[in-house]
Amino acid sequence: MQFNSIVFVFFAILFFSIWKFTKSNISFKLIFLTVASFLFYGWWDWRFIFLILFSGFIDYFAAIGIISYPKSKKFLLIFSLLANIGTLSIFKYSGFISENIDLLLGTSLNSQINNFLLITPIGISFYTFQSMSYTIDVYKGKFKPTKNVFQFFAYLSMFPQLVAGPIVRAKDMLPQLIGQRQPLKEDRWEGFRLIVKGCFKKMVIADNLAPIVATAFNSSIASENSFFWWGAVIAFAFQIYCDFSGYSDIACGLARWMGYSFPDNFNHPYTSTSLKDFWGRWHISLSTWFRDYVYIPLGGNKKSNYQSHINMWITMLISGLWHGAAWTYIIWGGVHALFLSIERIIGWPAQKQTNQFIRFTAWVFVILEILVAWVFFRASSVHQAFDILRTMFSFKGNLTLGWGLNGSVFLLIIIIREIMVYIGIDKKFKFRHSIGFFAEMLFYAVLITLIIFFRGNGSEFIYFQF
Amino acid sequence: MEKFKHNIWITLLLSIILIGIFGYILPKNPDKYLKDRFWSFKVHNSRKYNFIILGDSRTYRGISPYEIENILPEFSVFNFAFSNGGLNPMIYKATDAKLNEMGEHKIILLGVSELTINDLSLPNEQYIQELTRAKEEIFERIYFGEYLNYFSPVTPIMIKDLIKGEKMKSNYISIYHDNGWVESEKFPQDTMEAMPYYEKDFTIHSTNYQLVNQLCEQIRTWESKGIKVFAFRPPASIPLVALEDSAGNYNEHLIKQKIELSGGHWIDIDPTSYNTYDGSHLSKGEARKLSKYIANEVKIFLNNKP
Repeated sequence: MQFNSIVFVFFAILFFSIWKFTKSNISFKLIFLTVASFLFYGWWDWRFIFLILFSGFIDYFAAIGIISYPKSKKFLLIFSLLANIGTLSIFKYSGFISENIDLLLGTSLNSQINNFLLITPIGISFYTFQSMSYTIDVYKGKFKPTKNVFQFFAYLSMFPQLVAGPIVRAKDMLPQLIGQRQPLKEDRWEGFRLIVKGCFKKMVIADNLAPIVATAFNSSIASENSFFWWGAVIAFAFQIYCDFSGYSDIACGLARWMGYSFPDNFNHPYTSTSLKDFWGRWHISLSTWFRDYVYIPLGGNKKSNYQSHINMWITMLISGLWHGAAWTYIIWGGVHALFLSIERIIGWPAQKQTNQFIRFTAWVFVILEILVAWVFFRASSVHQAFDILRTMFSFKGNLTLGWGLNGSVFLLIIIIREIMVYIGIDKKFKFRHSIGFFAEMLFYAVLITLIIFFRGNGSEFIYFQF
Repeated sequence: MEKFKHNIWITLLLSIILIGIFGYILPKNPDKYLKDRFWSFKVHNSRKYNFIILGDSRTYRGISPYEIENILPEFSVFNFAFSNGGLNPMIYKATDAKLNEMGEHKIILLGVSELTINDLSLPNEQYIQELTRAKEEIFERIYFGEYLNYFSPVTPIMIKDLIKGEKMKSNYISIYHDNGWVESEKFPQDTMEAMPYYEKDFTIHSTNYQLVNQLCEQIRTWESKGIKVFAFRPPASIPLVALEDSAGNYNEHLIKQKIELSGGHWIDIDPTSYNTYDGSHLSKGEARKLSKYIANEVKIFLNNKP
């Protein structure tokens, strides 16, 4: 079930109509949330509900085992990690692994894999990581595991964030789930605003940029025009940003309506003046997950300078692989690692704030780095990515984008919005006084109208595939 | 007014008013919902037929089931062709599922253009797109499309035209029929219009004779089950036919021979007898003429059958 579908509107109306009656009965609330979340997920393909149950039960029992049998806690943690990574490897990476083995050894493993295993279940990387972090945190003694199986599954499968995050931590979410807190009017209004903003980003901006990007990257004849490719890559950068941050906004908005709070997942990443800054603003819940569960356990930057670079490279490459089972994603992670290493060596983040000109120059460089990396992320092959980069940096051809008015308008809207944030003038547009409240309501009514009439061709959220 | 008390309801009320006003003012594309419904219905309707037509856009615009049913009243005819409708095992399987198990005669008519047997069209992406569409969207398209058209999306270009007072260009008329035919007309006609697209496609993707062999294998299977297979080359403008032959490496003689050796029956079409509106597609009158001709050829064959 997709947030931008009519069936979800019906689902949400029904869910929230019942939800308000659950406030006095925690057990009913947890059962209801779990069942509704499984219905939400099973709407796409009910067979994969068993995968969430499998992954979930392993971590539920492993966490209880870690507390009950301290002597076996290491074994239980390893067992949980192997089971989770194993499931992920089978359903997400078996095609990629077998393809590469076939290529290296000349075998035909790939053709022997059952087709069912080649379907990547929606959101598998999100809920597997969430489940894994639960057991790791219990192992580290950060909190005690819950014995209430519905509390655990309500946390793991909570529908607003189940398929595309934000990845929430058990220590933040479990107490909220058993709390009595009901949403206040402020929460509902804030949730409503987030949902409308999220829908606008996804349905108006991302879905209208999608055809431009698809035409450029899927065309059998690659354009030889540099300007065209710069345009297409910029369009993709904003498409994926609006698609994913739009989803996160809707997820956070729905959570607010339920009386819960999710962490912010995006904070205007394209206004960053260093890549380190970018990773503190882009998919924050995943970046912090990798920092806490990969980078720091590897030693972080506590060891030698050289070792900290290695740790960062490993983290970024795994992050690339997390996004997709293809070399293009791994290289995407590698490109970011390379630029992050360069930044560290030259001490970029510390120097960038000295004056406005340097800040602006830093921003230009960061945007260039990010765009180069996005080429690998979006390209269908490494070969195509290098072809596109070659064309982009050859600076040849005429100044035509080939989109006409349709794509340009939507790209311009989001670029202006981000420039306002970069310069800081967006803060002047806050709705403060009583006339402001009416203006704010009118503003959101206009956004809803624009969503209805300027929605692009409805498509799946890009991050579902991860 | 207490802050936050009725914000959501007031916003929704304002939205309804704005949507009502803009829905009335903004231009509509009357074709859009009919087109969406047509494709969803084509793939997802559960009706059975005993005369099924396969091919690409030249076939779904060029063959009218009405004319065939007039000449061959014992058949219920369905045009199951798609844009870039590559002939592949998936579409053969779907065709089998649409064939009526009952009835004495079963016929499959293949519009074998270059695009149906090259690697570009092989996946038959339009069919897959429809097949994998979410069930609620299919339901919405088939049953509610007409009502939801009030809220149909517009583009900045449409707004620009509205402000400038220009009416939506409707020089391309398509009427979508439940039997899979798209009755088409375009003004003004330009028989060279489609050439640049085909030049590009044919240069990269010429006829794949392995796909022709695969098709012949399928024809043998159908014939062995008592299903009669007829094939023809959808007519196009003379320059396009020449381009299809040269750049597309389309050897009509060889393809005809292979299909006939597999048990199929080739219907020769004289491309000079039909006018296209863009070099590639037949207008409604020409489509009716071609459909009658093919139906008569099939009738002659069935009558002469021992």
